[in-house]
Amino acid sequence: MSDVLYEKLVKHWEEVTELPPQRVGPFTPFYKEITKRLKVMPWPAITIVSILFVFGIYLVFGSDIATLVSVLQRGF
Amino acid sequence: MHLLSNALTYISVSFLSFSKHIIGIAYAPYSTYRTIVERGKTGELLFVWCVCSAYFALASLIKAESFRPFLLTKHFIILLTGAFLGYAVVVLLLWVCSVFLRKRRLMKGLAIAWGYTLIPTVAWFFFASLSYLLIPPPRTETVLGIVFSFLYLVVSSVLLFWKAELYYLTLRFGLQVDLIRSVGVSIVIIPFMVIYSVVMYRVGVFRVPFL
Repeated sequence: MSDVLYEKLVKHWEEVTELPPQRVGPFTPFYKEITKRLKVMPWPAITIVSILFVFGIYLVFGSDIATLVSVLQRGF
Repeated sequence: MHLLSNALTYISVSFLSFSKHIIGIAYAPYSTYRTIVERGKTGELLFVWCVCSAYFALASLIKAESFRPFLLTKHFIILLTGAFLGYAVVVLLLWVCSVFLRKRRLMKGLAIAWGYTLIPTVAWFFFASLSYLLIPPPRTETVLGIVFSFLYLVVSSVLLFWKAELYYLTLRFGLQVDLIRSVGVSIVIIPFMVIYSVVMYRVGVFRVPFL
C-alpha cells in the first residue's frame, strides 16, 4: 500500500470513528436495520413509507384528503 | 486584483462543493453530511440561498396581483427576510444547545448543515407552486381529485421524510449527539419553530413555515 493511500485510509478512519456508534439499548438492531436503508439511496424506503403513511391518512380521513390538499396547494 | 482573483476562486470552489453536496444529500445523505459538517465551505450557503431566492422570486411573480416591480421587490424581500430569520434562529438555537451540551461545535458546521436542510423545503415549495399553476385548487372529491390528492400527499410526505432525515443528520453530525440527546435537543428547538411558524402565518409571510 502506498504512503498516500495509507494516509488517506487513516484520515478516513479517524473521520468515521470520531463519532461513537449509535446505541439505542435493546432497540439497536432495529435502529441499525432502519438506518442501513437510509444511509445510501434512501428514496425507495422513503417512498414506500410515504405511500403507507398517506394510505393511513386516507383510511382515517377518507375523501377529506381533497380538502387537505386544497389547503396545502394554497400554502406556498 | 489579487483579492478579486481569490474571491472568484473561492466562489468557484464553493460552487463545485455545493454541486457535489446537493447530489450527495439526495444519494448518500449520511456520508455527505459528515463531509458537510467537517469540511463544508461557508460559500456554499451563498448557493443554497440563491436557490431559495429563485423560489421567492417565482412566488412573488405567481402571487402578484399586478406586475409592479416595486410590489414584487417588496414581496421578495419580505419572503427572503422571513426565511432568513427562521434559518438564523434555528442555527443560533443549535449552537446554544451545543454550548449547553458542552460539545463546543463551530457555528459554521451547524449553519452549513442546517442550510442544506432547506433544499427539501424549497423543493416542496417549488412543487406546491407548480401544482398551483398547473392544477389550481380546490380539489374535488371525485375519483380524479382523490387520486391527485393521494399523489400530492405522497410527494409531500417523501420530501418531509427527507427533510426529517437531514434534520436528524444535522443533529447527529453537527452537534455529535446520540439519538436520545437528539430528541432532547428537538424538544428544545421545536417550540421555537412552532412560535416562528405561528408568527409568520399571522403576519401573512408564510402559510406553511419555511424551515
